[in-house]
Amino acid sequence: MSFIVDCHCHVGVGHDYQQTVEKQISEMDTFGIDRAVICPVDRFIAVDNREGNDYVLKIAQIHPNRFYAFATANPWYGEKALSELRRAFDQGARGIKLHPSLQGFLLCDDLVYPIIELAGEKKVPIYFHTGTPAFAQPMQLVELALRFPQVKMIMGHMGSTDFWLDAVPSAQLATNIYVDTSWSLPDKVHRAIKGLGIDRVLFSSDSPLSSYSVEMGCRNATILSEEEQNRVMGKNILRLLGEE
Amino acid sequence: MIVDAHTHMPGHALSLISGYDSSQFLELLDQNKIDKAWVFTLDGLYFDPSLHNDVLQEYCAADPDRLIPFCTVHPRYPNVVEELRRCILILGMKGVKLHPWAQAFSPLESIMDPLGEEMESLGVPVMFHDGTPPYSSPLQIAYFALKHPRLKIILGHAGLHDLWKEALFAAELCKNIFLVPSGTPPYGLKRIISQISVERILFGTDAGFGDPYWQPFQLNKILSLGLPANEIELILGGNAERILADR
Repeated sequence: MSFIVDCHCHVGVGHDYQQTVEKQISEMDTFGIDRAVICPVDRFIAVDNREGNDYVLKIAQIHPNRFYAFATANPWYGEKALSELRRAFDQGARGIKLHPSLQGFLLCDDLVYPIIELAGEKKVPIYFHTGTPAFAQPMQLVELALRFPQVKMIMGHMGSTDFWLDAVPSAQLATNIYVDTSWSLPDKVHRAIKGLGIDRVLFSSDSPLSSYSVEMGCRNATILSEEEQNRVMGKNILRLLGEE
Repeated sequence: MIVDAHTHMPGHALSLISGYDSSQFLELLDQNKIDKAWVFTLDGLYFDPSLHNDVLQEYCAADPDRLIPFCTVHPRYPNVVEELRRCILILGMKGVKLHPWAQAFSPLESIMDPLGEEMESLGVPVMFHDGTPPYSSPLQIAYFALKHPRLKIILGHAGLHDLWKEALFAAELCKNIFLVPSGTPPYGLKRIISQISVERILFGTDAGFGDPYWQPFQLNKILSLGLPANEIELILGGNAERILADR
């Protein structure tokens, strides 16, 4: 069995989600997930960024062998957003999560450039939610990725749902774009691997909105060689995190 | 009894699988222990609807007890009511599938009035694609549902990823709205089921449009809800059977 790292899920108690760390660890153990990249939930993404970041950073500090924390900051906070992210990096954050539709900005707006530049300076990946019109579309990520070719960006959920047709052809335009598997059935993952190469496809659950049960069901039905399995399910995100 | 209330006859337009004739489609149902499927066209959403209603009717005639055809009509076509009557009364099709986003109309347009009235008088259910702006948001379809309270209206995706909460609000607002949670996040589905009766939830997968794995994927989503057996039975088939029997 390969070493499994979930490259995107949410932990915290917010307006919609009630995902405590105990519940998260228990679900990971049930489904054989070794490690996970965690980011804050709903309202802590939109506002109260510091509170949400502290929550996931603390979890990663207590369980360094299970979790990597991605911090978020709403770009509309401007300079305050940058200082919050710098603070989070000092506390051990390993990447940035941005959610254009929840945070209310056009994905490729120049508003977000300072955050992208910070990611470049820290050499960390950025996970972008994509798939929600009008602000979170794959081609908007391409525009940004071409502008900042040194920064690695993950096209969250491969544009699911509305932009599934755009995901692979758009990601082919910028080699610094990676895609993750949550919400994608086997066929779509096969197409992504064929179109983008095995190193640019990363396993994720998007728990607790999706669930480990359905996401692992999909991945177990995806036909991959053992080496391909190892890369998609863990090695690729570990490489982006500088862990190997 | 398991009824997949959302499948498409594989076609040329957008289909991720190809070459599935009726017998292969029936084999797919057998593999996943699914007894019946409501089958919609794909090609008829993009090309000549009358032609593809005939094609679908013939496809389902291979086993009419298991493959239940739903016609489609284009609300902008002048013969929309005539084509609807032909499909239901002459071809014997059992319901209607509409896709406002692909067929480029808003559920709020006045061209929908004669179609809604005729579907009400024929007593057939109508399945809407939903979950994608600009024309297929659940509350846009709720407007149509409020205008036609006797019509059974089914949201084919229960809001998809972004609008599951809007689908829940639409179902609370309109008692004649039913939900197929294909594409609804597991978290959203749990919330929906905690707030509206399971009698208004129908199992459906979008099989035929996409990946053959869609049926086991969607079955897993329903079974992992941990509901009592009688409620699971309603969702997996009882509700779909009742909707067609009520006509």
